[in-house]
Amino acid sequence: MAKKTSVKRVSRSAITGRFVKSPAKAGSVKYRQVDRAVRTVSSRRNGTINSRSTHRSKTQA
Amino acid sequence: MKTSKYNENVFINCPFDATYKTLFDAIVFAVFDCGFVARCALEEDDGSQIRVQKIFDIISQCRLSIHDLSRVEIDKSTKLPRFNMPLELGAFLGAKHYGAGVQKKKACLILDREKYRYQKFISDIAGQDIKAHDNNPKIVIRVVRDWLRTYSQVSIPSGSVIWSRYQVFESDLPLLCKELNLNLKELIFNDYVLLVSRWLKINA
Repeated sequence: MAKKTSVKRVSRSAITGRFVKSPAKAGSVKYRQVDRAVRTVSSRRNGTINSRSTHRSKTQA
Repeated sequence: MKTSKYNENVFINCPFDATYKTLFDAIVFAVFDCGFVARCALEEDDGSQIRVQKIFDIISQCRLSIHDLSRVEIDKSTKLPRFNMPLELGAFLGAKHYGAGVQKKKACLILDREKYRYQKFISDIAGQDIKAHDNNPKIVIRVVRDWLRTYSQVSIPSGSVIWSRYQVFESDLPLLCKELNLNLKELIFNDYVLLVSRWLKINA
């Protein structure tokens, strides 16, 4: 009989591959919403604007 | 209790006032950047639960803890010292001493602003290695990182690298709050740890 193997879900940093833990109890805002905000702010800081942000800013303008 | 989460949880026992916030934020950031999870009494706001019971519960779920005694000093209005931090340190040491199984594996980092100041008010812990942070967030990040390295299975960036990342995060934080309709001055602990952990996941 084949031995059972467990699949462990892990979260890795997109850049370094390091493990990054998330808080045990999330707060009042959703992960996806926060991730989008982090990417937007990081892109502005790095001077790179992703296509979605560009589209939105054009639409707003 | 899941042992993996227990090993990663770091209980932070420190003051929660505005004057300590600079150090507190730096400690929380360093804990997450080292791959651990910061826990503290602020994470739950359950009016039906007795505060000390909530603290005991969190302590039982954390293998590691950071205790900062730097604000144990005479209060100007009451002329009495604040003793919540030594009490919670005592609870943690008691859990390690009297607890069974994984509780025996507990380890803690004790901080103060000066290295030997604690001997004047809590001499029973003499012989333990107390680290001084001089009220400096850069120093506290290095001290926390160097201590957590002992308990990490993987390589952790140096304190100076984490400090640099923390400064970038600090500059991003007001913009992040604006994006998420959060008031920077009204961020609660759960908001802050979520922003730190997701920021690190994308930027680290």
